[in-house]
Amino acid sequence: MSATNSSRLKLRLESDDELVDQFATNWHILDKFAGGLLVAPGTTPPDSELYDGCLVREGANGKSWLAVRNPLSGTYSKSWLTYPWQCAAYANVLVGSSQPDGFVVYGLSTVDPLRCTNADSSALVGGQLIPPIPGIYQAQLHTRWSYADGADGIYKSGAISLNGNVGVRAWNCDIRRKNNNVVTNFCAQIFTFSPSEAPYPVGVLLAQNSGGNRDVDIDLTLTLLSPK
Amino acid sequence: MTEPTNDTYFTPKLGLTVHSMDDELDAQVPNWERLDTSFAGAIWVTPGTIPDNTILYDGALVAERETGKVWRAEKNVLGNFEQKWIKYPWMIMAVRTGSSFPTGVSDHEMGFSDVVQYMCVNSSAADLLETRIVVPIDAIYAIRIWCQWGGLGGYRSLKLYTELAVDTSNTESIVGSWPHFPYPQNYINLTRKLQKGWRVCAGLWHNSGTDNINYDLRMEVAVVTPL
Repeated sequence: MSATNSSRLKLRLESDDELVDQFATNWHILDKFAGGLLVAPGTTPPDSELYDGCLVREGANGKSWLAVRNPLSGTYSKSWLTYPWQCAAYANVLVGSSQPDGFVVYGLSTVDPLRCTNADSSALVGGQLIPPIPGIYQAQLHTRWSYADGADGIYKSGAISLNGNVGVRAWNCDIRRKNNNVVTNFCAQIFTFSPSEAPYPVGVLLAQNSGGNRDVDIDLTLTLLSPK
Repeated sequence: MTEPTNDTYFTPKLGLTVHSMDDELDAQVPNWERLDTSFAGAIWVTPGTIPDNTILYDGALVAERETGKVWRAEKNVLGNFEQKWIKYPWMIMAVRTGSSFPTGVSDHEMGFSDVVQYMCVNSSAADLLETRIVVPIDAIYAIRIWCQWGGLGGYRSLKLYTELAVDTSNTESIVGSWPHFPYPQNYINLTRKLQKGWRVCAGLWHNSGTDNINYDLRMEVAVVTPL
């Protein structure tokens, strides 16, 4: 009687007098899969090495995922279990005068490697930060306007944009009025996007109405709170 | 595990069948099947499903299809399995706008009228109870509350309300509107340990001198680490 295989791990199943023949094959399979597959960072094993529900751990970076088998195609996708990720970037920009809430997207210029986890300058695209995977994120923006405007009716404003959407400023903007000293803004936003969406950029919105150009330090930190 | 005898017995964790002596080989086929079903990787289930005790073992990893939730089965002293969440993607964005709110009433508890569904993960308006957000599990949560007010005089205040009490003034956000600052906004951004079933919302206050004041309130709550 010929041998068969178990459905997930492909363990060899012999019968009757050939039972002993299973061991040499199956111990190796169990040895490989027990505790999860360990791979180099960024490595995706070929489908032939996976099974539905296989735990894959990426060495050194803390990421791990479950292999999800598509029952129709037989191919595998990743369901992230752990994904430590944070990226921070900053810039000094010159903001033209408009309305206190006349927000415009301004670009970040430099990624701070000391405040990055599993991220680098490749996450900064077009002056905005790009989340790596679908999940729940927290964005935090700090600004520091260097020019003191003491007259009434002058405002310095900051907000966080999602996917270039200026409209979401109404969810998180911080508008500060005139001050004889420097003005700071703090904005935060917890947000998500669906797995069907491509990861979209997260950027900085600024506005001021002093009547002249004003320079400001901006600092945006993006953190993955939970993979989906 | 006990010493093999002529009887059949089962290993304590995976329930592998063990025979003694000449019967040893006969045990292998059911063992292979059992290892294939539940030992390696995760056990996939439909959302909200708890596998039968014959499938679970102490330490088994159980993953829900579609929701992304993952838990570990932990056997208690009674022999029952408990869910210990490892990954619980959950987020809600709740909103409320209004144009009437009594002036001078301290710590006015303010719930929500709706959620922004596309900013929700494994949640919906059903997670609001009596307009308050109900958190689903014991966890450390990230919380952000933002309120923009109408530009009248006086001051504006925002606090976090949880099931037990209003937060102290240590985490209060206060902003002055005088003289007629048209964009007064309050911000709270913090992390907090919350218990399953707790209701959370905002505590608002203003002293503009009129009850007719506009406000736009938004609150996001997300699980950071299940406990």
